[in-house]
Amino acid sequence: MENELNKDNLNGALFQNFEEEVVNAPEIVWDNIEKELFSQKKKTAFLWFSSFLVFSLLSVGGFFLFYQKPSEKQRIVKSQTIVVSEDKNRSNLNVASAKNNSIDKISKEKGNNQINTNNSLIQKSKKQFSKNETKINLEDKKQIVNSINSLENQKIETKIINESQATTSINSNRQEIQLFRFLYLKPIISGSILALKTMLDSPKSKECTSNISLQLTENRGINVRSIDGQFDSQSMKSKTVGEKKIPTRLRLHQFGVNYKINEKLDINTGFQFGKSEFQSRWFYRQFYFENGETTVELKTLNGEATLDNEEIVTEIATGDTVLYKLRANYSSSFFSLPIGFSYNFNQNRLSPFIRYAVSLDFHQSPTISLDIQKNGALNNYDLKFQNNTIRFALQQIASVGFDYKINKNWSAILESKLAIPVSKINVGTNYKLKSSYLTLGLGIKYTLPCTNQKPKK
Amino acid sequence: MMGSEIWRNDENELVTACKKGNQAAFQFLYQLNSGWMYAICLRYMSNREEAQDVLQDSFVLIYRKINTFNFEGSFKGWMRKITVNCALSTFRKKTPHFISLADSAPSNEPIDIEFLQNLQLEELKKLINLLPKGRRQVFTAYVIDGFSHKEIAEMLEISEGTSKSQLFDAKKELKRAIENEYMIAKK
Repeated sequence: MENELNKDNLNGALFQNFEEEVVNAPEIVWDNIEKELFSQKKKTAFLWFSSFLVFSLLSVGGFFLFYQKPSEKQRIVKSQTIVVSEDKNRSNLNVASAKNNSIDKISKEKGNNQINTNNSLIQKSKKQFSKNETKINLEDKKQIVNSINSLENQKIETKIINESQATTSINSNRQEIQLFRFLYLKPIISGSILALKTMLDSPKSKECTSNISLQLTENRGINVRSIDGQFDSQSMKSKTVGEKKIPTRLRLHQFGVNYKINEKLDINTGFQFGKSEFQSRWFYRQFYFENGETTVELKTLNGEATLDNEEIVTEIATGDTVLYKLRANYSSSFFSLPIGFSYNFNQNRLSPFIRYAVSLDFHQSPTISLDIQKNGALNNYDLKFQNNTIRFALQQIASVGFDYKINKNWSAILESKLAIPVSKINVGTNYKLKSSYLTLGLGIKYTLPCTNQKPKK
Repeated sequence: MMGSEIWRNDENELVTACKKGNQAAFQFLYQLNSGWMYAICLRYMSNREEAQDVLQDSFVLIYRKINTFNFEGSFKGWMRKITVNCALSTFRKKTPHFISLADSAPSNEPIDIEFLQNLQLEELKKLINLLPKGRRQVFTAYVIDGFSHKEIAEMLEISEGTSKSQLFDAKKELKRAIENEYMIAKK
């Protein structure tokens, strides 16, 4: 600066003159600065934290509402059945013994009017017994037996209610304990804490020009789906179709919203839509009916399904053709809501980054059809799913990539993702599905212009 | 010692506190520096409202960028650069075609402006304010605030050649204005 001044032979004289010049700024300027810097920070942090909290609560709540182990469900139903049947047996025994010799015992029962009415009859019979009277009125006998039965039934009902209440309470306690034991809550909780801490600690990061960016990425890769549980895909005589583990081609369309916390750290959210397809190899399978079945019930990679084609059913029923050469065509899609963080290693034009996210996946109903080859002809049969509802699962996504800045607002993204399951998808009785994927994606990112509006003067 | 006393005596302490996001420290920084910064804004902008806007933008930018200041060089110089940059950016946005309206070829003919040293500050300001938009900003940034043509070119998004030609024209006009003034006074 001084060199430039010397060029004009001023020797800083003019600069000196102006350097000492001071003009008092109006107070409103500071008020505006304060409003712009300090109220905006609190508001933004609060908004982001509340959205994050709501999302986390919805994810966790949704997960526990819709995800329950089948063994747990069976145990609850089973235990209630046992309680009821045990009580019924016990009550039958009690009724039998009471009928034989417990008139004295019953007479001690206190309670409602019906019992009091019955007591008089019992007393009457007692007197008759004590006096060794041989003739007892037939009507009285019937009334005594009825009153004993009604008393016993009341006792049984009370016991059933008490027992089932106890069973329900035990089950709910068991679920609560599982909630606290659940380790998968860890990334969500630690993520929330990290987000809040970073937001509150970094007021300098609120760059006016580059807070929010939108991202569109197209990914291609492999979706590996494997069954965990009883799924006999090797034997010829089996009720399964398809293989226990399949690699499917995956197309994943991603839309993301990124919020810049500071120069290197971003919060990411958005949604993804994935679709995968698969055709199995040819295999031989002998279909059969269990007792009472009228359709062929099969286990598939996406749940229990039935094959109700009339021709096939007749063939199996008459035993004409039972060994089929077939292959499965499989197509499934999912929609997911991820939330996570990304870290950019530098601020250069080409910047490598890493990302970690947790996503809640909604697996839509799949379609599976069977190609059956018979006498050289190929026929296609659709399977019908018994439980065709949307299924939920939690995934963890780790990714690594590069961000190349094309200009001030636009960037190109190259990203590779690995998703591994946090929870398995509950598809059928005694078996579950694990879904993981590896993709490579190419996308574009647009950084929105300034969102922090300057307060009006 | 109270925090403000420490900050008054030790600029580094004040900057460190601001870096940590201390609101009181930043307010103190504003109180210490807003006077001379506002004077800079007034030199570049055509009215007080615009100058206040630029002052506000400058302090907001200082608050957001203070972490990038690494105590190399003067903090005041760093703030001055931000203020002038803000003023010139605002001016450029408000007057996007100022250069094309008053462009001329740069000349190698030297113009001595030592005569400006003999003027009072108020007289000098009045003369500078007479310069057309664009020339006034280039002249102020180069002659008074000591920025290079390269820096001015970057801030105003013009070429270095244009910056030089604007300065040349500004000097010529100032000289003519003073000569006219002198002639009138002589008569």
